[in-house]
Amino acid sequence: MNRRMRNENTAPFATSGMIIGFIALFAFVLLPAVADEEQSPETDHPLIGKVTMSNGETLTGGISISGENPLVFYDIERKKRLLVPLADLSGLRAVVEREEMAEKWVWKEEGFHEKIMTGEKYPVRTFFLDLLYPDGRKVRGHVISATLYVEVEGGERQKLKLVRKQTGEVGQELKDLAYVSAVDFEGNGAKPETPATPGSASIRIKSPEKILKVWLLQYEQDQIFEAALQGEIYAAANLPYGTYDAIVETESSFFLQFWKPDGSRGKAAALAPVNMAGLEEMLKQVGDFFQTQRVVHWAGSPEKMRGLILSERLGDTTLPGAELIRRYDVFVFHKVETEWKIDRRLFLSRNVFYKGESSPARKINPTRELSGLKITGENPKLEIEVSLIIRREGQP
Amino acid sequence: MSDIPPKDALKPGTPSENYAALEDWIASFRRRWRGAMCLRGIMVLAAASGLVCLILFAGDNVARFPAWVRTSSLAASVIMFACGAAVLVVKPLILKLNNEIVAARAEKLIPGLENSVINAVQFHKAGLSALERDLADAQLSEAAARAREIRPRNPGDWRAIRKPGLAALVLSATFLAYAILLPRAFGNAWARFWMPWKYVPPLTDTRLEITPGDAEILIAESLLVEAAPRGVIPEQATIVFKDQRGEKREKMAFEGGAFVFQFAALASDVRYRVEAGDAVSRNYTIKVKPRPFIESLKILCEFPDYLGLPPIEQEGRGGDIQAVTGTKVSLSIRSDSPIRAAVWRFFPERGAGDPGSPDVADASAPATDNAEEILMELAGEREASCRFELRRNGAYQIEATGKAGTPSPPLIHSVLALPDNPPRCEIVLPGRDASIPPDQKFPVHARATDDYGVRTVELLLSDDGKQWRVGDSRSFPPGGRALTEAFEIDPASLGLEIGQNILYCVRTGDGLERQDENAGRSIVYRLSIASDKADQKISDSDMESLETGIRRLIKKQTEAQDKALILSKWSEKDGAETDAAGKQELLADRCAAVVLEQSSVRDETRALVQRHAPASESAKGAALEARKSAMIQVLAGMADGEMEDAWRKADALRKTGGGDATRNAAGELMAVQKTIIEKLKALLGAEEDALASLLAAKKEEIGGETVDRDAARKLAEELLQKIAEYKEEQKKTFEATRALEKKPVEDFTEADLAAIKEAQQTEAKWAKYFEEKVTDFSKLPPQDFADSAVAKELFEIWCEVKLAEDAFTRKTVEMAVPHEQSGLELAESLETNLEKWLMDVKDFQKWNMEEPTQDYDVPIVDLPDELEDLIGELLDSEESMTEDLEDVTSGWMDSIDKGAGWGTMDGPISNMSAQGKTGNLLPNQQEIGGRSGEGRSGKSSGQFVEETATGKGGRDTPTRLTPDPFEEGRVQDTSTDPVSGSTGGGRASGDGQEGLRGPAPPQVAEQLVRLAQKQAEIVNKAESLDHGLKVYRYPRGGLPQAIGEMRQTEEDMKAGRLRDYSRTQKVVLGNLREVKDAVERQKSVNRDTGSALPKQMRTEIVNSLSEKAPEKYKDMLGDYYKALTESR
Repeated sequence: MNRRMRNENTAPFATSGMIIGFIALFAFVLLPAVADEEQSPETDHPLIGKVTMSNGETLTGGISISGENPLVFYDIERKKRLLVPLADLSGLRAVVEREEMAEKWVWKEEGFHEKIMTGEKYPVRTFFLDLLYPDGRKVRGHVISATLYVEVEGGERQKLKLVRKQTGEVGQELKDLAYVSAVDFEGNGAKPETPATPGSASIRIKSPEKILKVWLLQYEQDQIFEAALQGEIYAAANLPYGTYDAIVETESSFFLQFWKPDGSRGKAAALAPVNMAGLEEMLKQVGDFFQTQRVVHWAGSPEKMRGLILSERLGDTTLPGAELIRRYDVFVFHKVETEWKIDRRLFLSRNVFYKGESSPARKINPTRELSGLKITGENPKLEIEVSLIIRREGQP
Repeated sequence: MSDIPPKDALKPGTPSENYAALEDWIASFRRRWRGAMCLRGIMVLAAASGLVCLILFAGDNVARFPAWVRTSSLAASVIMFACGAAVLVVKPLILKLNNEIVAARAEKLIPGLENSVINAVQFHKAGLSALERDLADAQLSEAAARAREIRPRNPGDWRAIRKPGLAALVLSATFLAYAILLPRAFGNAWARFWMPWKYVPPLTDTRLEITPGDAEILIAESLLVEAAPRGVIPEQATIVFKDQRGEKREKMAFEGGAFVFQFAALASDVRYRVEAGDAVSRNYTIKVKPRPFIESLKILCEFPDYLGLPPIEQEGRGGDIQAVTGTKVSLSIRSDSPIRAAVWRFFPERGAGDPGSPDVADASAPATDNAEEILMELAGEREASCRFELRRNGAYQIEATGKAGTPSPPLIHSVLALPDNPPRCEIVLPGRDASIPPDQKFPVHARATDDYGVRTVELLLSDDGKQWRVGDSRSFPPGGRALTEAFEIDPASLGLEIGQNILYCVRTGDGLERQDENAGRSIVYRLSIASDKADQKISDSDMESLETGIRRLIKKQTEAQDKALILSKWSEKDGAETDAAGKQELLADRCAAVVLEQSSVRDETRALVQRHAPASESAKGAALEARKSAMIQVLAGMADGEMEDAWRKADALRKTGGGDATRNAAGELMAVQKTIIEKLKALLGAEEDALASLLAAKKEEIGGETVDRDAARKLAEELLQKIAEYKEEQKKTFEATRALEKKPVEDFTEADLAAIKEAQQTEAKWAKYFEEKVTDFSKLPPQDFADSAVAKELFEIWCEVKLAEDAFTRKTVEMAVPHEQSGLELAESLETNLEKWLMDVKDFQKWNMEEPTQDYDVPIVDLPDELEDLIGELLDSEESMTEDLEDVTSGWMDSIDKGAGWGTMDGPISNMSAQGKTGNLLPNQQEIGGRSGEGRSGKSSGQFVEETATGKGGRDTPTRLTPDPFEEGRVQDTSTDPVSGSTGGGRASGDGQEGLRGPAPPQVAEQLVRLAQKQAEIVNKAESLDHGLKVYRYPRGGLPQAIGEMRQTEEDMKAGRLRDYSRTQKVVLGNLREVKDAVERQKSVNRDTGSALPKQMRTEIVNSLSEKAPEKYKDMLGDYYKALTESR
């Protein structure tokens, strides 16, 4: 709760100075506001941009991926698959990774490693894709091919492909294969003179026991990022904007609290027993490696439910001596009529216990301070400090 | 000109007169001298003060002295001034100046006195002789004379006064000019030095307005500090604050024209100041006041009596309440500090009439204007309690007030008043119309479920569908949410004869009286009494093979065994989030599930036995029938023996309640389950010896009963003989049926048809086909469909395989592969072409891989121009592919080069290098991606990289929506099999069956929007109707459900979805028809039947209103109307 009270100790300065100061303040406040009104971008139009093909052709108009899905992208450096909404980017660049006139071939014979070249050649080109962010960052990786739609003026919609690999026909040359070489977006929220700061998080944690790992789970795209220990702070950089839940794993516990969009009370809404039973019943039917799968923490609604899943398998695997394999994942569900569906599975941690090793499961400690953390353009650097409390049975 | 008069001008006087005059003169000189000294002191002080003030004020304007500097400098200045005043002003006033000192001073400063005054003073004092006296008197006269003439004016030395005076004047002028020319600076410095211990901000380019400044908040509250800059706006601002952890500096964010900083959840006092630009605010204090916290909340739910459920208590901080409407809830709180009051407030949900959706409690928008409030009863210093009845959804808040009047943080929890939904009932056996001979009893198995507990299950019979009677009734104790109950309809006892029929259904109740007579009622079926077996209309679904039924039993029993395994390792100390009550409920649910499974196994076995018990007309002869009879005998024995025992043990397990008792009971149950499974499996693959041994196995004493072993042995011997006969007949039968392959269909005889019918696949196979388990797409990693190249030619190599000796009987092995033993090749190109061969054994491995823990970048390799395929005759059949053989969908995807070789078998890893072969094994049921040629049909969603398709058969695949896109190009499809299994992706080939539902094209989407509007109108009408029915107490039946379905359909239409529309339509129309029928029935009850009377009678009735009442009825009528008026 914020209180606003006047501070009575204002210095009695000369009247002229106050008048001058007031006029200056007036000008300071109003002029930029007027300027902003004239320059504020329209926010209810689709992403506008320009697509440049490798043959020089350009297309300008509304750009989208089918179904407004995010781009599925593999970051080569971080070795992580990301879901990147186009609206987060200022542009894309296709960089040729390899291009050649490949020759068709067949195996000489089954069981022989020798290739027989047929003499027919065809162009092949593979690409890196560089994601360009408004703050100047560039991330290189491979894209899972996507169809790009460009709606030019006049309503005509053209389909282009963002691909990792391009293969031509025999008789074609490399120059015959045009590809999307660049996409530049306009009006995606960041003004050129005020580049957006990449999202980052710094979490200072006071824990009663040793911390094993800290993750940040993003709500909007269901992505998970691991925070690395830097000195006394757990930090993660280059995070997409959004709403995050921090998850802390210690030797005996998980500390977390999944956020729900309208959870103004900051508390996970209870799930009716009939739904929890349905959820666990569905998990049994999935037919997984693990013999038991339980939801040990959850939040959400039938439209989107996130749950921390404890999976266990008691022995009987190909790993000699392993008596118990325990694993924690975050599953994202939604309910279709009467049936729950799993949308995503995000791995957290696992342990293998051999004979004689103790194997208590992690306790779950709901910790409100770790829930609903916002990283936005206005507040790109998330810095929090939290003290973890292991709650005993019946303790608030 | 000299002031000294000449000697002869002096007038003599007496000595005493002369001395008196001299003394006056000296005194006057003395006064003037003192004055001069004081004046000089004042000038000096003024100059010094002016200088000091100038230095301090100007210095403060520039250097912005801190308070201690100002205070100390002011103090020093005051002390200096005081000391100076004492020395320079006061001292001269009190200094003793005798005549001699004054005379000497005068002599010094006034020329012409020529020591006359000093001499006179000295001579006056000394003891003189007469002569000396005369001289002294003369001197005195002279001095006196001079004194009369010379005024004791200013003691001269004007420089001593002039200089400090000038300095004082200059400094004063400067000070004045400073005050006039720089009034702001002067005023600021003046204010700062006037009371230097008070905070007066210095003169800076930037000025800050701090809000809230000093503040008082409650513990754990947050406070936003704003520093609004004026003047020069600095680039950044820093807040410096100090609390019990020490001092910190933090940057403030700039929002809305001010720098802001939020103190979050303060637990102790904080002092802070803001520094921005050249401005520094003073120090402010935020005082944190303690408040009470509710450290525990106990909830006791007492359910309505009719449920018969025991109260449930929960303790802890989880305070959401979900219970059936009518539950009495007692809340008890305990605070961490003494409280003087506690209030419970309830905020009902907005617009809530009936309880809302049971899915999620959502009290984010409670109706605060309708809040109810209860003052909780205090019990002790820190406890309070209250009690209320659960009627509506909403939220409740508890607020405790501490002794100091500070409120506790609001504790808000949701309240969900769950409706007690009507129970549901379904006839699971046979679940259809049937006809039986009059001497045969008809089993009816029904499954009843209720959200709180099934209390009664009744078999209802009717001749006409209107008048129903209870044929049989069972009652149950509270708590059983699902159960299966078996009834029997005995036509003989009902007096039914050939040609008659009877309607039957099952009704279940949960203890709550309901107006809707259809509540808890199953579908109505018809049972006809037929003359002989030829009239028995047994549908195809009844002709499931015995073996398929046994397989189903094995599967069910295995599932029950898995459930018992979990219970055998049950631990109360598991680290799950649920509290003890929740854990107990979970245990109870799991035990109930085991009981249900075992009951189902036993009952289905009995049903299977009963279904196949009558001798079937088979062309295969008595030998086959003998084997079948033997199997049926074994099954019947197991149903009454091991399965009954298993059910009893499961029931005993349910009553254990946790701990070692549960684990031991589960272990005992598992032993019996294992025996059942082994026997069932042995039945399937039993040769005559094994079958004989099964029959001849001595039964143990079960439940106190012993079996007649002699009778069993005799039976076994008879069966063995029949099985030997069966072997000979079997050969002949196979020859006969093989001949049918070459016979045209239209030439089939009755015997041929009967033989075919016997061999037909039952509906169990189709049930297996249509069974859609939870889709495993969440496991499959995203696949790149970029490379659209296809292979032009395919070499198909057909092989014959010599099977291994144990090809069909190899024991199933589950290959559960944990992450440590998984790996990927991720080949960038194909360089290896290992030899591949077909399998010589059936699929006996179930691959079950643990999901990967990280993401992989799978390359897209260049494929060869021609793919080679390796095909063989299938070793598997759809029937033999039981659950324990089906691989599990996994999230592994690879580009395999070196690893693709040798045995061709199905596996869980999607492969992007198209090195797979068709092989001779049936694809498993798991989802698989990757790139491949045609292969056999199965649940795949990858990329087809071949130009042609010829149809190689495979699994009957259900239609489902997969994530693969619809690609360009067309496949030359020459297959003739009717293939199902559309996915919404892939490439176009030929024409097929009904396609998949998916996102609608834009034109259709527009039409759907219009239809959605029409649907909305229908929903409105239905809601009005529903309201009307409620008001007039007509049965509503399934109308609320229909309204819910129609609303959902409206949403789907708006979103462009048409999923399951036909099913929804049927449900809605069915419900509406039911309502219509119910209303019609009710209307016929309510309808005034007077209109059917003859006109004359109607006229008499109407006219009677105006007639007098008969005398003997007067009292009766009077009492009647009196009762009417009084009852209002």
